[in-house]
Amino acid sequence: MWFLIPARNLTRNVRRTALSLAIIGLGAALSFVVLGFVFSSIDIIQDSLLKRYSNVQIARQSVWEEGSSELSKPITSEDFIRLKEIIKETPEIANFSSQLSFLGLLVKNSTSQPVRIIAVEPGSSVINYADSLISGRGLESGDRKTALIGETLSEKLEIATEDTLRVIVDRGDGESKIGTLKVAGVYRAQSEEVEGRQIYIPLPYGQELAGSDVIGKVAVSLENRNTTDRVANELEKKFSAASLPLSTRTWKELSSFYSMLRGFFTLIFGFLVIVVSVLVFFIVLQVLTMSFLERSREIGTVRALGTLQGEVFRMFTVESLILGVLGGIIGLGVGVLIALVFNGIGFNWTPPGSVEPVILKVKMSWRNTWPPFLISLLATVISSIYPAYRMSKTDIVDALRVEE
Amino acid sequence: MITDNKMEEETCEHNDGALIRTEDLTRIYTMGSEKIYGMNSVNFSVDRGDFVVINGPSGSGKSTFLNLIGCIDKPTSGEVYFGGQPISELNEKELARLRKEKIGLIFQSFNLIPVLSAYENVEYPLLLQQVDGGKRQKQVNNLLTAVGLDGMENRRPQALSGGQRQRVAIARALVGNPELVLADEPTANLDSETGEKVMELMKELNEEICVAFIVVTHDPLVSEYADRTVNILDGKLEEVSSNGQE
Repeated sequence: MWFLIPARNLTRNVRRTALSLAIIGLGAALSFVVLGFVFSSIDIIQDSLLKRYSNVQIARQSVWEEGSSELSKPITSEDFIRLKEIIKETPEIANFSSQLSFLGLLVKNSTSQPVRIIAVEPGSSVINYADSLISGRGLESGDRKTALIGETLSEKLEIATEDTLRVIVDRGDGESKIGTLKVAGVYRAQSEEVEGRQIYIPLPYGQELAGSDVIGKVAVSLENRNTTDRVANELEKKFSAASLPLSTRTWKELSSFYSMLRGFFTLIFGFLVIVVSVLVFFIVLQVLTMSFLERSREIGTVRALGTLQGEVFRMFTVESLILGVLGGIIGLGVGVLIALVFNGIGFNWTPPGSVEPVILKVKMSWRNTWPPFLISLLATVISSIYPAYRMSKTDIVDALRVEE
Repeated sequence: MITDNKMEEETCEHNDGALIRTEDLTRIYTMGSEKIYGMNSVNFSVDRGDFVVINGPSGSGKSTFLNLIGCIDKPTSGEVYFGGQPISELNEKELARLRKEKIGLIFQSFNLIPVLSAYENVEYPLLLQQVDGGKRQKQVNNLLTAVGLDGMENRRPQALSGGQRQRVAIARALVGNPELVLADEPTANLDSETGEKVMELMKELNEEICVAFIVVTHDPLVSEYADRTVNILDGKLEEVSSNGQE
């Protein structure tokens, strides 16, 4: 009974039902497309960041503290051997590579710039700069006295690829080491702060400059990026069990840019959700209120026949629930069509910190399916509550007096 | 047989006191500082199986009276007893239950649910009473046959004539096996021939299944079908005839 009248009302008032479904569907479709676009953009940025940071980095706990030097707190050879065993026992880990970072002074002619030198295993697939190079090439196996420098730094010191620079490293024991570096390539990063202060060199030469064969960090790449947090936690537990003084940082923790960007996208989508929900809410409220008021006499009749107030309320909310579900499904269908057209056209976008443009897509996954559906459903059902309540409380005699 | 149990279990001989009785029934409407008596200290009773016609002009209080004894309005003072039970003691839920189980309503404008078919309109009170599917179907079909609407089950009210709509309304009023049917100007929106047929049908059903009918009207011809005729004017009732005797 509580389904019969709502269902009949929807199927037999075709124009009104179509209008309501169009409004709800439009809201759902819009949310689906925007959310798919946001997720796709985030995925592209994640890919770019993973190439730079890998999934998880491992170092001594104190290294993560501000101003700490990896040289004074390196991963010892003994700890590195045990760490490699743990990595071997962790099936989710696809690959790893070592690195060492320390401070130095980069000098070209009479200009100098303090920099953070990150010595990495050249040619390793764990950290990959290929898509951020704007000139030259990346570090390759067999490279020794070569360097990758940031775009900002190259502009500041007027450095081009193939230029030779001097580098001065303070080893921390009062002794300094002077070396030479040939610029292999120039990279672009998400921030000028990184581009202006960070250079990459091959690990063996870095260790030579630092006067030690230690390593400061181990970068780990995973088979599946979604397991990052879980694997990082498992590694922490294993380090603790093995009494290793090591700690992990995920790529999300290492990139403040990502948290900022994600926060920004969340804000945009949150705003859109509020706008869409409010629009759907008020338009559907208007449509339902009109529709319910037109049925005052019908409500008076069913109440006079013995229908309870709660049953009348339920009839109206069931009607809006059916509308919400159908509107959500239709909206998702329309959203998928829009996404297919958008993806078919193929719009290019260069994400921050990348050089190569990527094809921007509207992602189609469960993650951007259920929120628009739920939003349109909730907005519809909530918008029906007040008119449904009002109608259920209508005085029977007054309702029966209403002219049709 | 129209309904499943009424005819077999009850006859109009069976009478255990007034089905409905009013005691100093008063309904006052307030319009600004003015008080209008819709019903003024009315004492009235109807027995099971009675066919009572209440005559009166527009604004005389006919509909007010039906609303009060139909439990869809509350008196300002006085009491309505249904089967001896004072209805002022009933809460909203109990009143709704009384309406759906004991009272059938027929309206001047038919008041059918426009989105439901003739069958579904008649079925509605049984859905409220949660009657099983098979039994429900049988009762609805019996009633539709009894009111002469065979073959029109699937028509929606808009596709029916005024007389047919009122027949659907009569079937709906009777399908839940009520003890009392209240009809508010059932012939007002019908031509005289159709109105006559509707009244004949109501009288037939009254005699056949022993349901009390209270029909309010300003149509003097309706009184011809009455066991009792009562006049109403300015919210007061006056018995005119009983069993057709002046």
